[in-house]
Amino acid sequence: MPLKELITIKNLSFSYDNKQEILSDINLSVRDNDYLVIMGPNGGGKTTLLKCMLGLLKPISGKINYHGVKSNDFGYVPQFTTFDKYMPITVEDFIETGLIDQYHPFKKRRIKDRSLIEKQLDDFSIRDIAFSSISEISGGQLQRALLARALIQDPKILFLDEPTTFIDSESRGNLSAILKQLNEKMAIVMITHDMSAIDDHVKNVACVNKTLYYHGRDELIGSSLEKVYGCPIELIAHGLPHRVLKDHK
Amino acid sequence: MNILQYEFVQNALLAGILLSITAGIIGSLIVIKRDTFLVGGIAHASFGGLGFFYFLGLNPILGAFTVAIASGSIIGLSNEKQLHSHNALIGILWAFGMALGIVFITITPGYAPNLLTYLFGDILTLTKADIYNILIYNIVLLLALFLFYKPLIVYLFDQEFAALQGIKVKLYRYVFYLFISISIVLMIRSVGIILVLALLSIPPLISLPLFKRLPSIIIMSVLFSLIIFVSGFFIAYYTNLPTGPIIIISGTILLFIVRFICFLRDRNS
Repeated sequence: MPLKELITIKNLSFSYDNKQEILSDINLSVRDNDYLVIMGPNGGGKTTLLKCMLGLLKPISGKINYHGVKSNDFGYVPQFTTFDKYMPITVEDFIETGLIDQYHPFKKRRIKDRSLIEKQLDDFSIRDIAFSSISEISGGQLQRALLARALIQDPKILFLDEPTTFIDSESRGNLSAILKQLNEKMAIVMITHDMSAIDDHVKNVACVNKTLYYHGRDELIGSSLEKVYGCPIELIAHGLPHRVLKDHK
Repeated sequence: MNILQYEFVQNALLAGILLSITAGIIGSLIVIKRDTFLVGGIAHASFGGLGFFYFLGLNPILGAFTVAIASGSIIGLSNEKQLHSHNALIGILWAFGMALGIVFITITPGYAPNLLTYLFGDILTLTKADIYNILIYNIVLLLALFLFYKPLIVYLFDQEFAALQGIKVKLYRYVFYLFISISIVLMIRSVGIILVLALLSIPPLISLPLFKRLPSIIIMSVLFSLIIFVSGFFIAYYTNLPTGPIIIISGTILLFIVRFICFLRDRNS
């Protein structure tokens, strides 16, 4: 029996200026317990598609249907470039911002919130940097803080935008293990241009370059990637970086 | 005779203390949001309104207020992404406002006011009414900050995440620039258009390398504003030099001293 769909995207097109389409006629679904990786070249519209799914951008045509999930069921790990890394905020306060939708100016902070933050500090082994400013921690630590913030309210779907860009290979390994574990409880949608991020645990891969070229995992073959990237890419052992076999034309 | 016995000195000091609170809070938020240039634009554009109202025979500060609110609203309501790529537009607004102001003041018949008063301010001319205005504004500002501090942080830090969490980003932006515009106008009377920018940015720039959390930065910026203001005020009084510029010069010197100490600290660690 196919798994229940959480998000269904039908014939979605998007444009910032109504002239040039960034995304064209996309059909895609995110299922319960899915582990979907969206790949594609820079400027191919991956992040735009993610933002449409999150409801941050409105498509010019087509539809996105949500089945039993709303925006506060989404955990979001943005790209490092979307926020100000030099903001004077400690790791602990940063994680707390994940609870901001619960905030009310005339209600006191509940004890439950405190224990949620404590739990995240332990779960992601960042207790020792809880009082460090986010500008002085490493890429891997910042990544864990971002995950801790995204997961503080037990989302149903976790979205990650290029999570491996600014972290070292050890942190990448950790991230992969964390995501595998999380996938037992929630669906994961990850954007990446890093082939090594596609490991054994990934269930579906979509290739986006303005349109969706591929959706599914078992048929993952070189030809669809070739269409997207414009060059042949060899898929080698899981977890290893990809190699380009032939010269780019 | 003790200088504190003069009413204008008392008013000036009181205003200085109250404006330190305004400058410390708003300045910290502006510096963190990297909006200093934009604020300079609003302050200088308001000079156009000031000149126009002067020409009409109305209260010039009301003219500055109108234009500051109008430009703050335009900035607050426009698309932030576009805005940051339009620094040239802010620069034009800056220069155009100044040019208009000077032309209007020049063509106004009769006695020409001392332009320096508006450009560099004169805190010794402040009245009790000015002080009440600043006091009321500070109460509103503090109340807003206490109630909405947490969502404000998220807005300043990561607007996309804020939007996802249901924070009304556009409303926050608009209210933020409204508060900035009012602060600017309140400060014009005492330190003038040119020096507003310095008084808003110097204290947070001193606090930023010293503290990790925004609340500490805000509190220390208020304190540094106060130190700069009081020392500048007395130096100006005893040397018989204009208050506004002396306040800014003493602030800049303090900024360089603190930054130099931080530089030595970071080099040795």
